[in-house]
Amino acid sequence: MVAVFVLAVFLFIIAADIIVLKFQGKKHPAFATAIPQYGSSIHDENDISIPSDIIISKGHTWIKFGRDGLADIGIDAFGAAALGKMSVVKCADEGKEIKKGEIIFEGSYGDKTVKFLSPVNGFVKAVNSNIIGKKISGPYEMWGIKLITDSKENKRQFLSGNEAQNWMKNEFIRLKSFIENFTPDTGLAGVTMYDGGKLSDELASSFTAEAIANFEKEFLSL
Amino acid sequence: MLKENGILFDVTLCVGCGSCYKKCKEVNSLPQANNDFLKDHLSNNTYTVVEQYDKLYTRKLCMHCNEPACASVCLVGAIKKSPTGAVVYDGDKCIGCRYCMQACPHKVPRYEWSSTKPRIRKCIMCNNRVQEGKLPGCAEICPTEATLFGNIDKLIEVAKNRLKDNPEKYYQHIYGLEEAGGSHVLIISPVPFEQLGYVSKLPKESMPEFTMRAMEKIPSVVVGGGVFLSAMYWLTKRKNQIAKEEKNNTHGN
Amino acid sequence: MKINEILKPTFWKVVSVIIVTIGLVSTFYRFTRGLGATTNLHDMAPWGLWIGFDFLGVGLAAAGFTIAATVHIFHLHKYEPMVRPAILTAFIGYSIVVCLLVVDLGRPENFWHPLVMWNIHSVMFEITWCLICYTTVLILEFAPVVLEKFNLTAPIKYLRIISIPVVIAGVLFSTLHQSSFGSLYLIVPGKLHPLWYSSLLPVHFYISCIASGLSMIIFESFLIARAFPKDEGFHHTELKMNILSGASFAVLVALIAGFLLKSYDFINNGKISLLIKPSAETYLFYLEIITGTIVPISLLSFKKFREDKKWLYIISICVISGLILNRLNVSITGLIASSGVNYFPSFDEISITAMLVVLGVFAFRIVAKNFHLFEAAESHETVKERI
Ligand code: SF4
Ligand code: SF4
Ligand code: SF4
Repeated sequence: MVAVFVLAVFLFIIAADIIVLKFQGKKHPAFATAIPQYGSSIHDENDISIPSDIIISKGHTWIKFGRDGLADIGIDAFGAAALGKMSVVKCADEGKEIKKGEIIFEGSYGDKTVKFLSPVNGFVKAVNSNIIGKKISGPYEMWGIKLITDSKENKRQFLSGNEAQNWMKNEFIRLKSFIENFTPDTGLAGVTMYDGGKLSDELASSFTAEAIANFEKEFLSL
Repeated sequence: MLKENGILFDVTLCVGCGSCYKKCKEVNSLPQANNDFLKDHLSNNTYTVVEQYDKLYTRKLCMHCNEPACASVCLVGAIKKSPTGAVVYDGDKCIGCRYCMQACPHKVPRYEWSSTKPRIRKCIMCNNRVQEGKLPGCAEICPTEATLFGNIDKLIEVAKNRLKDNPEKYYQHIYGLEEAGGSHVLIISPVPFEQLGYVSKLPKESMPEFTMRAMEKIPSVVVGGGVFLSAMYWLTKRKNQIAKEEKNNTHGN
Repeated sequence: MKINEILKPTFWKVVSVIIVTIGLVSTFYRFTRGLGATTNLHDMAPWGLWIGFDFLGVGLAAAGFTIAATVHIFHLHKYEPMVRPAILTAFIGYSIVVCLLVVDLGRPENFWHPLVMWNIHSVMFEITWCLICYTTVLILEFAPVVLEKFNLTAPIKYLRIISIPVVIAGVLFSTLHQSSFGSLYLIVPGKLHPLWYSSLLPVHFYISCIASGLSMIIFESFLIARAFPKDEGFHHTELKMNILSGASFAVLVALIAGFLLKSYDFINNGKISLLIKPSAETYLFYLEIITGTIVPISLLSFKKFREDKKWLYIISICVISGLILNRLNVSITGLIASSGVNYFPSFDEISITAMLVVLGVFAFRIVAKNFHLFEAAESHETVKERI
């Protein structure tokens, strides 16, 4: 009987706490629709699966070395979704030489613009004008720039396959705490950002310029 | 087993006069609690009782086990098996954890619940009197010699002879000879002992045996566990290092 | 902290103050009037709620050593954020246990006797010493948190050097006393109900404490997330689901191991027939096994449930409930039949227990607010591992 009594008290306190929280208009973290890490589209298995012929740079651009010596470069799934749906604003100019670490794309999440850096040295052969101003949907199909690059480029600094996927998963986890730390109002972040498991475009608008700079430093630097 | 003493109680001889009950209170200066001694039970002021089962009378008291559970569990050694055979108690050491009460297979030790300086209370086979050369109170007063005090080996002999000489009079079992590893109080009776309210079906091993089996594994657990953990510490550290080095190699810089 | 913020009454603050006040009065009575007047303990039920609660407290505080071993010995640095809360929980849990033990002792003023009067054959003696040593280990393990707050780096350096031996010692001490709580009952084969009595009791206790200690940490993560929300200025208190799911997998493994052991015990000792004997004990045994083992195992087997925080919360509550039932069944229910009396704790027993639990929670809160409990200063290894 004592066992049942103690158990009842334990369960009673848990239940009471949930009721108390309800009166205060808050939600218990176990039942709140807070930011999920698993099972939401933000890092669905589909979203982070990476085609085998593609390698990922730590600046969240992807590269595909073609047989013709040209390298297709685009923005990866993380870049395309981190702070909302991203659209490409600007690409590096055609016919120009570009160095590793120089700005290759500018993209925007809502009203905030971020810069992506070129993962390799090369010569811009072609720019995909179709993608400018559009929201990225299938990130690995939408190349942005074709580069003539020194194919002896050290491919080891890039990630591919499983390793890339794990790293990407981790990036999303890192992103989550980043967002939590930089959103002034968690309530807002919780609801708007992952509304129904989807990212909302308004998230970026709640960020300060400083937060965006931090984001570039944390996630988009090589 | 030189000077070890014990008590032999013969149910067939007990007339239920209650002298042992009263004498025990007297020699241990315990307050009188109940006018009708047959209705009393073991308590913090009663070390022994006389109980009536139909026409039979029997006594309950501490069995003074050969390997007392109460003494083996007492973490400060307040209960001890004295070389005289008695299981004695030192109230100054006791911290009052009451593990002895929990452990005793015969449910004997009682506690002074109402006191703020409580002690464990149980029959101590009048150890002080015995050392002074006197008989325990109950054995001294017993008018029919139902309670006998003496060298335990001799008492076992006596008991065995009584069973052998009068097989129709006695139930052929000496309670306390083997129960819970044997004890220094032996009881013989005309009926099976569960009919007299004794704890029957006690294992033959002494109670501390059960604990010892687990306790004796402790040194090997400590040594084995220590070695295992150190090895794991070293191995996993090494594994991480190798993984890191490999990573560094594959990524260049 | 502003004074009026502390004084602002919230539901739980009011409840806590009431509980502690009543508890203090009961404590006063307990020490001035003795055990008999304030508890329902008696000669046939010498151990009651307090001892049962000690069993619980120690079982639930087990995460202190499992997590420390996982991170420092097995180098799974992912679980690093759990180390500090786990060690603090263990420390507070053990403090509650020690306080309860002292309250429960008939002669509390003699509590130091085991230090000088030894009986190495007593399980209780071994437990006492393990408790003392392990509490010391916990203090050493937690000391850096306190020292770093006051910027005392020199002693931290020395603590670093001895940290691995300390962790190993902690694991060993825990292993010993966690299992020894089971050994306590080895000496009462005739008294403890055969549903629970087994010569493997120490092993049962050890395995179940691992499962429930980890569940407790999971449960506690929810409490932390609930009690220290971001909008009150706390950081790193949010649920770290990847860690919790990992820990819940370990819970699953431990539960299965415990279940297999129990099955082996029942089959091997021919105790199966006990399962169909209708009695209060049997029902409680079923309740214990179903809530504490079967339901959690079946839920945890699905990745979906392991990674869903709502379910994880419910599962952790189940496992903890199972432990509560198990320990109290062993220490109280299982002994009722043989003692022939019924025991239910008195008001004072309950209020003193409740007071100590509330004080424990309060202590946790104070430490969490004033020390870096959640943002574990990442060890070099962690940083390096992430590259
Ligand atoms: S009967 Fe009980 S109290 Fe007496 S010696 Fe044996 S174990 Fe100890
Ligand atoms: S109550 Fe006293 S005599 Fe009994 S085991 Fe505890 S310390 Fe020893
Ligand atoms: S031996 Fe002494 S203490 Fe024991 S019952 Fe007899 S008179 Fe009482």
